[in-house]
Amino acid sequence: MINYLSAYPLIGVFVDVTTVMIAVAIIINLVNVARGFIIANRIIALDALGNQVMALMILYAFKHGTDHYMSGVLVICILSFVSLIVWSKYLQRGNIVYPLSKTAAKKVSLSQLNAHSSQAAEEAEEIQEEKDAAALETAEAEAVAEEEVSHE
Amino acid sequence: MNNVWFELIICVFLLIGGVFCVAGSIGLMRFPDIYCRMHALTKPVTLGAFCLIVAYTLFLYYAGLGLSMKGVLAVVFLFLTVPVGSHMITKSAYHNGVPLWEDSVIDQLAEDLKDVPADEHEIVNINS
Amino acid sequence: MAVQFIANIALGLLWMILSGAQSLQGFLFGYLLGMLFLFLFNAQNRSARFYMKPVLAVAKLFLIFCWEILISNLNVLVYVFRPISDLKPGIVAMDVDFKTDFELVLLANLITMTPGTMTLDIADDEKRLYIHALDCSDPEGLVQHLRDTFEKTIKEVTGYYD
Repeated sequence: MINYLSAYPLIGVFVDVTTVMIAVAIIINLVNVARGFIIANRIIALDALGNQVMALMILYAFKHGTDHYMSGVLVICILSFVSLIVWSKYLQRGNIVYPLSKTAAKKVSLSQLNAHSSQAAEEAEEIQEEKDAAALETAEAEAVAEEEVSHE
Repeated sequence: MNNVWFELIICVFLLIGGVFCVAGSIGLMRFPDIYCRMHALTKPVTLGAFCLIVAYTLFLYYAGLGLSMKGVLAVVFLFLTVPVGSHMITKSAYHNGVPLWEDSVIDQLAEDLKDVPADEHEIVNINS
Repeated sequence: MAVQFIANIALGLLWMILSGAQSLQGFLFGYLLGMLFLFLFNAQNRSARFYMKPVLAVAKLFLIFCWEILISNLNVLVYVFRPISDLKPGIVAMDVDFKTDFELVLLANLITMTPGTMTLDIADDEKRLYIHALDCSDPEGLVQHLRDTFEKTIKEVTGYYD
C-alpha cells in the first residue's frame, strides 16, 4: 500500500489539519442531535452528518490515490437524500406509505381501534339481532296482556 | 513537477473546505430558529464538500495519476439533491406548526393563509 | 433549432473537404464561418431562434449562479460569527409569471441554492413564491434583486424577450 502523501509533505500537513477540523464539526453536530428540542432539528442534523462523513471520505482518498472512494461518496449522497424525503413525509402525515384521510386521522378513537376486526363486527350484529328479537317478543307479550285486560 | 504554487493552491482549497464545514456546525448551534438553522447548515457544508472535491481532483492531476470524472459526477448529484431535500423539510415543518422566531420582521405566508379555510391545512401534529 | 445545429456541422465538413485542410483546425474554421452565415441569414426565418442564443444565456446563468454562491457564502459565514440580534429573518412573497413548470422549478432551486434565501412554499395557482430570507430588513429591495438577477436570465434562456 503506497502512501501518496509521503512525497508531498506540505499537502500532508494540511490534510491532517483539515481532518481535525471536520472531526470537531462532527462532534458539534452530534451534540446538536442529542440536544434538539423538536424532531425537525434532529432530522436536519442527521442529514448534515451524512455530508460531513462524505467530506471525511474524500480526505481519506488523498492517501490512497484511487477513485474508489468517490463511489462511496455518491452512494451516501443519494441515500441521505432519499431518507430526508422519507422523513419529511413522516413529518407531514404521521405515516409514510398509506395516507389516512384528513378527517379520519383526528377521529380515530380507542373503541374503534378495539372493534377493528370483522369477526367482532359480525358478533356485534348477531347480539344486536337477538336483542331486537327479544324486544319484539316482550312487546308482543305486553300487547297481548293489554288486550286480555281490556277484554275483561 | 515540484511546483510550490500548485501545492499552495491545493492547501488553500483544503483549508477553505474545512472552515466552511466547521462554520456550518457552529451555525446549527447558535441560530435560534429552525429555518435559520437550515440556511446555516446545508449551504456552507455543500460548498465545503465541493472545495474538497476540487482539491482532490487537482491533487490527482498534480501527482500524475490522471484526470478523473467521478468528482464532477459527485458535485452534480450534490447540487441537485441538497436544495430539494432542504425545501421539503422546511415546508413540512412550517405546515406542522413550528413557529417562527419572535423577532422576525415580516411573515407574508401567514397573512395569505388566513384566507384559506382551515380544512385544507389540517395535518396530523406529531409533536403534541 | 436542431436543424440549424446539423446544418452548421455540415457546413464545417464542407469547408474541410473543399479547402483540403484535413485537421481539427480546418473543421473549426468551417464551423465558425458557418455560424456567421447562419446568423446573417436567420433574419428571413422568424420562426426559429438562432441557436447560439440559448447556449450563451445558459452560460451566463451558470456564471451568475457561481458568483452569487461565492459572495453569499461569505455573507453567511459573517452572520454565524456575529451576535444573534443582528439577524432579521422573515418570509416575503414574490410574484412570478412563467409559461412552463420547468422554469419555476429552476428558479426555486436556484433561490434555494444561494445562501441567504430559501423557497418555503408555492401558491396553488403557481404564480407566487414564498421565500424565507436571513436578512429581511428591506423586503422590496430583496425581491427586486432576485428578480433582476435570476428571473431575467431564465427568461432569456427560453426566449421571453425575443
